[in-house]
Amino acid sequence: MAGFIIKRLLSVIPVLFGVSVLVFLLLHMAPGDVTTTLLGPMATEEARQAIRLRYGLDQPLPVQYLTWLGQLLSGDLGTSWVHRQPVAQMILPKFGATALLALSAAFLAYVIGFFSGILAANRAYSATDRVVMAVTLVLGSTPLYWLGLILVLIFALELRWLPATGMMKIVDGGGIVDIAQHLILPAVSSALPSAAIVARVTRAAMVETLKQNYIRVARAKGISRRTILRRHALRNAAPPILTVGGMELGYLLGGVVFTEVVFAWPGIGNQLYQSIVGHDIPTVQASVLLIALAFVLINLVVDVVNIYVEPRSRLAVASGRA
Amino acid sequence: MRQFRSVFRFALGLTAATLLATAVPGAPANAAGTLVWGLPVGASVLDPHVSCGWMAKFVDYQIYEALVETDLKVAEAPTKLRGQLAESWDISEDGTVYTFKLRQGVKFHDGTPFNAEAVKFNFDRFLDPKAPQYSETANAYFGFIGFTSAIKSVEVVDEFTVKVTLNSANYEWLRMGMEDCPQFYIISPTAITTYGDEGLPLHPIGTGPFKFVEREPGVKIELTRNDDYWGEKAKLDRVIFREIEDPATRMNAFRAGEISVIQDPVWEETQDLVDEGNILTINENTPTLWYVTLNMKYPAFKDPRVRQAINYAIDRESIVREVLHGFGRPAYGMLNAGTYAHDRDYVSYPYDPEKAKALLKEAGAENLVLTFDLPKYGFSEVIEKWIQRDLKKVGIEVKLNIMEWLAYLDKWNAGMLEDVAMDDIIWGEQTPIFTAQSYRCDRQPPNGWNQGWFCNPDMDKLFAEAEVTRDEAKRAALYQQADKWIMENDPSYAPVYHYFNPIVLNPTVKGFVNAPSNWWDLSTVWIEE
Repeated sequence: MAGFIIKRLLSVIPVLFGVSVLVFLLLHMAPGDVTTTLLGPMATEEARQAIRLRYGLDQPLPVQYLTWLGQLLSGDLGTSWVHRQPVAQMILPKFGATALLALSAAFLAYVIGFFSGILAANRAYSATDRVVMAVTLVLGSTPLYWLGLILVLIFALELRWLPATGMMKIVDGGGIVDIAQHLILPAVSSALPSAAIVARVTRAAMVETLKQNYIRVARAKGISRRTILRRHALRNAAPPILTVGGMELGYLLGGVVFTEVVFAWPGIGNQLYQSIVGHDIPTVQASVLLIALAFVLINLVVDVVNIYVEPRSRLAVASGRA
Repeated sequence: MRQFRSVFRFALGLTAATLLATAVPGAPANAAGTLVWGLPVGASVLDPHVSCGWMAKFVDYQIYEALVETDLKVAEAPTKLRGQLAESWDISEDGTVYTFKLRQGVKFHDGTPFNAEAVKFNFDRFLDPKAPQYSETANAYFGFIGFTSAIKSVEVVDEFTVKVTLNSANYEWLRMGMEDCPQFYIISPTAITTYGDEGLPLHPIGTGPFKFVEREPGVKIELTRNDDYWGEKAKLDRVIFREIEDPATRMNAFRAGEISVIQDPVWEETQDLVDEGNILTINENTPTLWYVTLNMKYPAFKDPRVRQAINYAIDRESIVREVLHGFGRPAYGMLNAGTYAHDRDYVSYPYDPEKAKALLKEAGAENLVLTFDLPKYGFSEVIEKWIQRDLKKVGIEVKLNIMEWLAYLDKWNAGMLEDVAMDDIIWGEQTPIFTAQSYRCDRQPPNGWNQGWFCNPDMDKLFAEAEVTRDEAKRAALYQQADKWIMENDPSYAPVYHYFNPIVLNPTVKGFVNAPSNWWDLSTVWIEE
């Protein structure tokens, strides 16, 4: 097992390396002179040249890349060109805010998606099943931006139950209750489309499992429907559900950017967008790497959990076939 | 009828808003509170010597002070200059020597005393390459607007007197250093030495009515009242600038009471905000002008009749009414409404598509296809598409070439290439010298922003004469003479509209003055719960 985890951890390195090269090249190929970011539109050519020298921008791209990589490995994420602030100091709190939103949304998506999927599968092809699937189809195809605005309109502006924007009150905000209140609307609007996907996968996996012969045998033995569902069907249906759940969490980490914009949530997605538009290369590089790292690690955790839940995977790992 | 009523209601609202903008009510003795201002764009770095942009200037205006600054406590245009850190200033008979008598007993927010040495230290940051605090970036910024090249020497006469000698007479020099890019604010020398160019933006230390507390990039900038301020202290305890770029989100935050002021509300929903009990303020004389630059190097534009035709073909009245919902006024000249040289009654090219067609025919320039470079910037795209449609009506096909803001700025800064017919920008400074610089031969890129390559030595003579003319009325007449001649005979621009800067306040916000500017003085504001 430990060998499997180490092997998977090592496979993270080439992925991150690839991401870093790609991001580095893409940004350097983007239109717009970086010296404009640093000096403003008014700079003279001499000043621009001086800046290129100071930041090593006159060096060939591979040299620039390696210098950056060296700094990264020594824990230095660089300084933001736009805000003149250490990138780490700027993006880590934002990553925390995004993680909080994404994890809360993922939790909601799993709970809602999982139970509605089971409900539908348990009564497959009934009216309940059709209603649940229809609702998930609509939710799954709803644009996040629109859904967020509608929720704000109803719960923040009309009913005045919840705040409309931000992560905490802008004046003297903070504390668990304050953050929780601000979290509800963005988390729900991010969660609903993911919940729809989890529900559909759960239903499909469960319906397939419930058709198996061993379930029929269990029924014939007179075991209650609930016990069959919980003890026999769920475990076998778990791998695809867990995999999709993990992917949804990864997707939420990178994809809550729309929610962050609609709710002015101070997350990394929002920051990333600003940094790309503002040509703030050190911030973009660090942010993308952080999101990629989180995505890869989440998938690793999902794989490990899968092995624990599903005996066949465990056997496969033990025999070295994974 | 319904339409008439809504137009009438809107006109009534605008009148009330203008009145409100000009009234400065007295504040109660215990006036205080926290103001949360919704910024439509993030502010750039808070180092006024190396930054551009209205938002940074707005924040800096509260923290820093200059020797002489525009007075934004009144709404009338043009703004007047008032001594801030200079108690008085004197300009020599020949216009070359500025002597500043400095205010005594003033301290920076970090306790550093303000005096003539501090002023000199700030000048040397961009003038003297040998000074330890010299910043090549600051030099680049001040150099570009012509502020640096105007200065011959800076001299400390005594502890509270500074003498600046210019190379030649220039009566706009003070204003040149107080616009949005860059600003000659006096920064604490201790802060410059301690934090350096890299650290200063997060430690902005001036002498202004508010002190910097913290900045969370992309989220907020927080200021607190400077209780040791030398002049009339600010009323608010705190000011928080919230950066919310998405217009719908900014509107939601305002409606939910999470920001107390919304700058640039969604135009079509502004009347609804007023109906909900909020207060609309506008200013009809801001320096903000939206204009199209016509490329003099573009082959089809060699004939001035083609450029005149474009000016006739743009339906400015409709743009202002339909797109801006009345928050602007058609512009027919390049001297913006915020300067003393603006002529409100001047109309160069009334909308006349037939005349445009006739001029194009005369010039033999029918079936033109033009490339129009434009930035992705706020609401401009709607106006650009409107212009595209207007020009199509007179037989000109326009291809829109949309770019990200920074990429655009690079291209804009380098001047238009021969294959681009026109581009646009929204801009405006409170001194007509910058309009002159948009025309002058010696201000073509890379030495300035005359990026449509207009050049006429006769006009340059008029601009040069204006610069050394002491009398403001005579100066205004010279600027107008040049601008009108160019607009009518050889137009290198198509000005489109003057913007009114709508700002909506929560009814608890009192004492705000919507001055003719793109930044405002918050020291007069308070919150009444």
